[in-house]
Amino acid sequence: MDIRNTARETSAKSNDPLESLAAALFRPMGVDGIYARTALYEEVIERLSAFISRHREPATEVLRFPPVMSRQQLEKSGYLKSFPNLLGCVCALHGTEAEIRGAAERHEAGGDWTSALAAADLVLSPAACYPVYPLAASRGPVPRGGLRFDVASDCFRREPSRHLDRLQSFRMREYVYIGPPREVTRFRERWTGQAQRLADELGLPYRVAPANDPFFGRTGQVMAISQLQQSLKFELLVPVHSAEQPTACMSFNYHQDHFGTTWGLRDESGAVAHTGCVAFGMDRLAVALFWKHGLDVQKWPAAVRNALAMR
Amino acid sequence: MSARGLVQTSDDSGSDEKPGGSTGLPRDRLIELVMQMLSKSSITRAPSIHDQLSEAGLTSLDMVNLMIAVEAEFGITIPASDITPANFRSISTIEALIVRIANRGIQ
Repeated sequence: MDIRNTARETSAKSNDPLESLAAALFRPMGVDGIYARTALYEEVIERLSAFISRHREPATEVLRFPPVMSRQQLEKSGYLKSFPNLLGCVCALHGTEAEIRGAAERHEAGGDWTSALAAADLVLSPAACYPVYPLAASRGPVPRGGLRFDVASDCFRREPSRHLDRLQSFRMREYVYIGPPREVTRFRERWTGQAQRLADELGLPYRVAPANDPFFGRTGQVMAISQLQQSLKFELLVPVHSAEQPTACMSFNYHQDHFGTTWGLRDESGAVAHTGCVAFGMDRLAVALFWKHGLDVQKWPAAVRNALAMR
Repeated sequence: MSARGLVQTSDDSGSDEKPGGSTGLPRDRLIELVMQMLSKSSITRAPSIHDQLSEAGLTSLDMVNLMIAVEAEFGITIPASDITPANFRSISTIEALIVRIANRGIQ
């Protein structure tokens, strides 16, 4: 089976080293980057999730978010300034029964029912941590030791691709810290080291490098430059395609006071809290594991099987 | 492409055209723009022309606003291919970029 969705695409010659994994891990659903996942794949995802949980720091609150979040909250977070091209917004048919039925019936008549859609108050979450900042702010001042969260959600980014390491719908897990700038820096440094130890345990080749987010447009290019100059983002890169174009499987991010200022996250003295996070691309990590160790998990290295608690 | 108030080489500090409301030399006007951005963060110390702008205190949004202000001030459009870390490192590198783009426009 080929994961690509059309006969024309299937007939095209592929040099993608992940292509051979597709038949065992995914099933096509008619849209590039949206796939059903097999039991083999999901078992590794679950073990990977438990592996990451075993390394959770003490006093970390666990929250699991749905795949959608408040549109107003994401707008306030500034997402539209940075990544408007990636956002998916929930739309629905609104109005009277007659209006809604009229729109639906246009489809039956071969017309376009989607022109009657209007935006709802929800967007598809583009990253797991966005909902946690307003939630934390609603609880009052940030305690002296800061706040730690373990969050996860299904995420969506509108970037259709046939590559298995660039899904439109994917799972993201994050550890988030909210607190004084120095402690955020320490958190990120600690996790940059810890994540490399995790990658070692998983038997993955990698390198850690400065990175920037894919900000939109020309102004986004400038934001990316600034992000690099300030060393605000690092990524753990795995060469699933090539050493020249590796895949980011984890990232280590320092948001400075962006979310603190946006949501009024302050400590008892009134100082704006800074925030940082370490993000695990669960699907990318799982794909990387199969790429490195093969499709037969029984033959994976003993140390890797042990790390993932495979019996 | 019009390039208001710009010199043809970085060594030629003369300018035969004054942009509306601005009378300074290109570098001075660029420094003025940078200081306007920094003042929003209550930073009053002027960076050297070779200082990395992020270390001088410019945030990501300041950098975006600086690019927009530079384009308006000097009547240029900075192509996407010129928006690189090397070109946006310091006042000096941005000045050189402005001059290069202006020279392209009058060739």
